[in-house]
Amino acid sequence: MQTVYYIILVPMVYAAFAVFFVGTGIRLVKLLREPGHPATLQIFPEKRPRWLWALHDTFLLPTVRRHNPVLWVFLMLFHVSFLLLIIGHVELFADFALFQIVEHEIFLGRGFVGLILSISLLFFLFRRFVSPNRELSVPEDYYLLILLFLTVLFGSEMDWARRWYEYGELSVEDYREYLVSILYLRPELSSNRIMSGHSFMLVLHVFFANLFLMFFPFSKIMHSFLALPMNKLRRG
Amino acid sequence: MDQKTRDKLLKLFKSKLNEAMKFYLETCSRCGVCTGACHVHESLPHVKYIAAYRAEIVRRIYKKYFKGQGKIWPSAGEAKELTDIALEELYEAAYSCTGCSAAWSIARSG
Repeated sequence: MQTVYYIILVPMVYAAFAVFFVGTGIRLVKLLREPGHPATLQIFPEKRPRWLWALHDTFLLPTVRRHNPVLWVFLMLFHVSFLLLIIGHVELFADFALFQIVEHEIFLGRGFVGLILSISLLFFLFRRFVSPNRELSVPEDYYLLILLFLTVLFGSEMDWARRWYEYGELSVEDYREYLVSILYLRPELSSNRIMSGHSFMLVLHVFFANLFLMFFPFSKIMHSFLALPMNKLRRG
Repeated sequence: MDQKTRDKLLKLFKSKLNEAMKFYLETCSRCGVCTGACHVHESLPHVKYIAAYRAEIVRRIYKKYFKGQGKIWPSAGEAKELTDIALEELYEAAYSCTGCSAAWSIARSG
């Protein structure tokens, strides 16, 4: 079992990040090297500065707010929580004064960020079971949502165990030691990390996150990078 | 459809794949927000008249021939071969769209 844990926590992590960075990089370079559209695709009345309005459209989703407010609430909750989780993971590498402007214990949100994210993902998943979203969906949509849900669930469980159930066998320092060792290409797995009672949560969290990262460049999640240039097209 | 016609059509498809078109094909997350935008769909409430579904008909062919995912794992995105049936669907999608751009103005990312 220890070998399986090692494969997931070390070589698979490197493989996942390699696929993610190389795949995303190649796809973006190829896309941006395509010739531009011969005519303008501006659709909204002109407002300047255009790039600011494109940012507004991308991050605040005003059209969704107008046409489907319930979806908008969940989309905003999901994306803001996701950003907070990214900050939480960055903070696992080192202390950043910038993020501690509002003083907090790592992770941000006292476990509620993971909870909100899990609920949002379940909402996104179940709304796809209802027509007409069911007919619009392809298997990729379900795979991605299930993969993200499992990643978030097992990741959050580690947070919940520490925060809500005072389960202190795996501390933030343990995660930091592991992540820093991975970052500096000197992978180190202490027995505490792979033998403790809830290390399976860490292994499952990393396993599903690895799968998600490997799927990322080939999936619709590329909208994370492409939504902004797309909205810029609409703003002229 | 014979191979020669298919190759010819795919060549034409490829010639249309500029940056904007690819952004369009890559960013849709099939959230369905555009469902109520189309006046054709409002009059004839069938899934095939939802803007995202029309785009998906094109996208499935794009995935099959121009995207790695469609070659490695076609079932994930329901990548589709260019056949006579697919061509019929494309005709229907194209000629039932008035090109009013209402769907595009509502979509959150394309």
